[in-house]
Amino acid sequence: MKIPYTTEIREDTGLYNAKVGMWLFLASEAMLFGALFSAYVFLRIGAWEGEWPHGLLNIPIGAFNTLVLITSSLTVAMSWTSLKMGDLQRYRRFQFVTLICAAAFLGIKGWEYFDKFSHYEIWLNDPLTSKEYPQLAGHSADGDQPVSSVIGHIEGIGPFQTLASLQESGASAVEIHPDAFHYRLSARQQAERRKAERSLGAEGAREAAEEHASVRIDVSRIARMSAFVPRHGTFFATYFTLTGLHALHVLGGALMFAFILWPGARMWRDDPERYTNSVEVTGLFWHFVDLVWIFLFPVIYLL
Amino acid sequence: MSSHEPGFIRKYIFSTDHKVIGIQYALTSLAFLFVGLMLMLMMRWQLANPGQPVPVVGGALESLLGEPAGEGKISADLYNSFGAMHGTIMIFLGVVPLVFGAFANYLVPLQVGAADMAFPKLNMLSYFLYLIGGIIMLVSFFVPGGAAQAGWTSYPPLATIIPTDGQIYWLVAMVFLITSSLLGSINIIVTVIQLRVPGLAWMRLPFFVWSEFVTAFLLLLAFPPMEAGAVLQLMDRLAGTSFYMPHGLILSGQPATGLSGGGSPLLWQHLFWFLGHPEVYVLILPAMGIVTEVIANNTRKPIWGYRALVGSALAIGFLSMVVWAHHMYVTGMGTGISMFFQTTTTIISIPSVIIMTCLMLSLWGGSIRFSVPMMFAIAFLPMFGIGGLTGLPLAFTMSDVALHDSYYIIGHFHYVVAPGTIFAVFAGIYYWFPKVTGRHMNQSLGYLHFWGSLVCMNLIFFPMLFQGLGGMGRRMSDGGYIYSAAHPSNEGAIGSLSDAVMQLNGVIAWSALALAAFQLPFIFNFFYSAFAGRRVESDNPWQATTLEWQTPTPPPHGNFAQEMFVYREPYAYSLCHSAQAETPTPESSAAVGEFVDFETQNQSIAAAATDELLVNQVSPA
Amino acid sequence: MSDMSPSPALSIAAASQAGAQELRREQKRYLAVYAALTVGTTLTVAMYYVHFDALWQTVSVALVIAAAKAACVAAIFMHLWHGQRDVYRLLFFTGVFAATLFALTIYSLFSLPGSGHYLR
Repeated sequence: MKIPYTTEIREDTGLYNAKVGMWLFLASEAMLFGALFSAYVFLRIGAWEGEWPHGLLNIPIGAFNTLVLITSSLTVAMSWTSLKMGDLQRYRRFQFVTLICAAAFLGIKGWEYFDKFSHYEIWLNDPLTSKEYPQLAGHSADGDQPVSSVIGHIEGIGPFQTLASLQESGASAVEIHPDAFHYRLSARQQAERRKAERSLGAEGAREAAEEHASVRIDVSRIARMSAFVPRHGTFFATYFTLTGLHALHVLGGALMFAFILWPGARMWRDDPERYTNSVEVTGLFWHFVDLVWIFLFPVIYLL
Repeated sequence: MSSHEPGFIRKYIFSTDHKVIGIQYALTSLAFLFVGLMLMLMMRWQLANPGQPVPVVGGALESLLGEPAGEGKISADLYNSFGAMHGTIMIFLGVVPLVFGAFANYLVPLQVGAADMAFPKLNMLSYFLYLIGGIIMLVSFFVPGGAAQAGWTSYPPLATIIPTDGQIYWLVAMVFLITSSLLGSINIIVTVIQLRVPGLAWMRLPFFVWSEFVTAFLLLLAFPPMEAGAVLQLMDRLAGTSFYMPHGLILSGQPATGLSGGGSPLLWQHLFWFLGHPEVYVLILPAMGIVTEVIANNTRKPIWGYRALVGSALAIGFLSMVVWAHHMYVTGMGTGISMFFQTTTTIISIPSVIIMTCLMLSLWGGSIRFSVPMMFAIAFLPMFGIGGLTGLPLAFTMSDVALHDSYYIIGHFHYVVAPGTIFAVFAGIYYWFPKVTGRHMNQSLGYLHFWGSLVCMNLIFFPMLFQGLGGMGRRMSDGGYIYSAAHPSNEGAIGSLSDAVMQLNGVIAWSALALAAFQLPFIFNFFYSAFAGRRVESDNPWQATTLEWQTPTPPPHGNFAQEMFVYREPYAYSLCHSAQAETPTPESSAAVGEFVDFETQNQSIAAAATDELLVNQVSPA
Repeated sequence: MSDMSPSPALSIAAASQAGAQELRREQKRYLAVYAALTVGTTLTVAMYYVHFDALWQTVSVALVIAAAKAACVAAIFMHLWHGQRDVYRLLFFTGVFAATLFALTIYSLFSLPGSGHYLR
């Protein structure tokens, strides 16, 4: 029993079965990521003033990841044309690079995630003024405003700590190294403050050094403490969900390519056309994953 | 070479043959429909006799479910979980797998002339994902806290804060079911696009194939946003995020702690109903397809308005994606957006009416054969008509605000699904049973099943319309007693539920029991006839014209013994030659091996001619 | 599906010398797209440091650049440039439905009382 058009194309559609199937699957994936993007916009528009972080994600790393993924898209396309030309060796080499890129992407993502998990925000019961704590100058829009939350890295504790776990461990205070700027400041405000600092010259440099010094906060003054984890707020919830789901798709695509490259390579001997088609169809999925990242990166990292 | 014959496991359990998979879907979904029916019986009992121990099964309930069913009574929490699971099981585990998984899987490859689906292995995977999802749903009854209790619509914040683990199982099972649906719809679409035999142009497809094609697109494009929403709700439950949890949430009089807030329950509603509305068209479109097939066959004439039917199905498919927020009129959306959805919802009623009109006009001038499938198909028309008409007040915001979440809604949608889709399903089962098994179902039991179901369904759901208009709300575990005039605290209150409205609960409960009883002849008939029913006299006992009847009975692996070619429109009844794919010249029929049967059958029909229309179409061989 | 010739793999290449030429041209197109994407990414990041007056301007510029990159990937890497009408139709309707979900969900926020001030 033979099913037609598994490799040869049907004249009136110009496509073979697996290609139609993959495009349909990509349409459903487009709806999936589209819904998540809608959720992102919905939550961002509905967010309260000052609650949507900006500038907390590492842009050079994100840009590098973008280039890594774009490179992998290129190598996938090149590997398919190599197969079409009958060159199994070049195909293998290109796919190897693809898999390296995928691993790099996931590795960098994992590093980003881990960095976030150790990056804290502490909400205070009563605000601190940046007059008493000059290190917090970057936490308020105008140098004097009191600051009700501090973000930065905390000395001596691991990731995923909360107020509850702090209290359980019996610590009486935490030493937090505040970030240069609080996310409450808009990009424009941060740029203005940087400009102002630069104009201060040597004094500015000293102030900058002090900003990285730590602030000691008593546990009793803490209203809430959270690392930049999904439960921190809707921004990180969306960030982790969107990039996490995307990363799962990268992993899935990479596993498919690996399967076709090694165990599945038997098909090249028996049915090279079908083998080439399977690479093309998986490539379609891979390019789609790249497409999603092309939108994800500016929307989440930059906007 | 070793024998090619696969073993029992390969042939019947892990089969990639679309017919076996279709039967697997059918048996599994019918079993789930039965579970849903049992849940409904217990719910209706509770509503008619609040706080009383359930007779017969009360003891079993208690031993199975423990404390929520203490002393054999259905507690409020248990009632809520029954309600949520009744809806979920009926829709996602019962009707959709039946009309889409079973009927489409079995019939679409046959009706397009293909040997199997485009991706047989994917088809098998779809079934097992469905089965796993279904098992997870059933298992959820026995986990701490019981099954999901926040309605089949699973609205947050309740669905997030409710301590029952069953909610997580519900969400996980939904992901399995959605994946199964996605893979199945990809299969159907590719099969219809790529595997149609030569001569089978788009406008020669049976309307059933068109309806399943549009349904597949609805499943493909509408399910993912709900999957996204389910993932977000899982994150809320498991990772403590606040996708759906707003600021300032007060739980049991205390401000919620440990939540960041900033989310919106409205987000879930949008994502859910974006699926939820196309979902109901998924429930009805295949049913309309089945009814079309049965009516065409049993009136012995072509369906009236084939092009209108196809155009309407496509229009319904498109429009169903832009009407979803008519489920959200009472959320406080402004008038602008409500007006938009009100308009699109009213517009979508037009193609539905066109379809129903075409089907009704098809009856005119037909030589109607009142077989059991035809009874169900004819009854479908007024029953779906009532369902559709009762939907009109719900399309308009001003009337919906009064009727939302009342029993009127329950009456409306059950009319569409129960004497609507389920009747179409019964019609399809009685109609195609001879092709699948090679035996007829018993007619007398069929008529008994039909009349009993028709009367009981109307006795159940028509009163609900009045209850809703009388102010009874849905999802109340005591049947509205707390708001009724009989309740001591409502002495002299205006607008409490009248005794008449409350007494209808009793009528409904008894009718529900009767309805369940009338399914027994069907269940017996179904299984008995499969093994010991009267054998079919030919491969085409209903004398139908579509391709699935041009195969041996039951169809073998690979379906058609030779290359098929289609010459005519699908319902070419009472024209020169009756079959869609029959070769036009009698001389070449000798070379067309298996049509010999059909020719002989034609002659035997002529010999036993009681149907004048058929006699005319037999060509002198 | 395997044919009888000794090396099925070679038969693909041998099947068309002209085909191989076309494939090499295709590969050049891939490299051109790669260059374009790299430029696009640089633009995207650079745009981050430019401050626009209104949010809608920032969003539009970002989305236009992203859409241009996406079009390159879809057309060339995903072979849509070769003209497959059915796929175009599918993508069109998917786009319409996704846009509807997006637009109406967001619009519903603005029709709530007291909302809509976040964009200004």
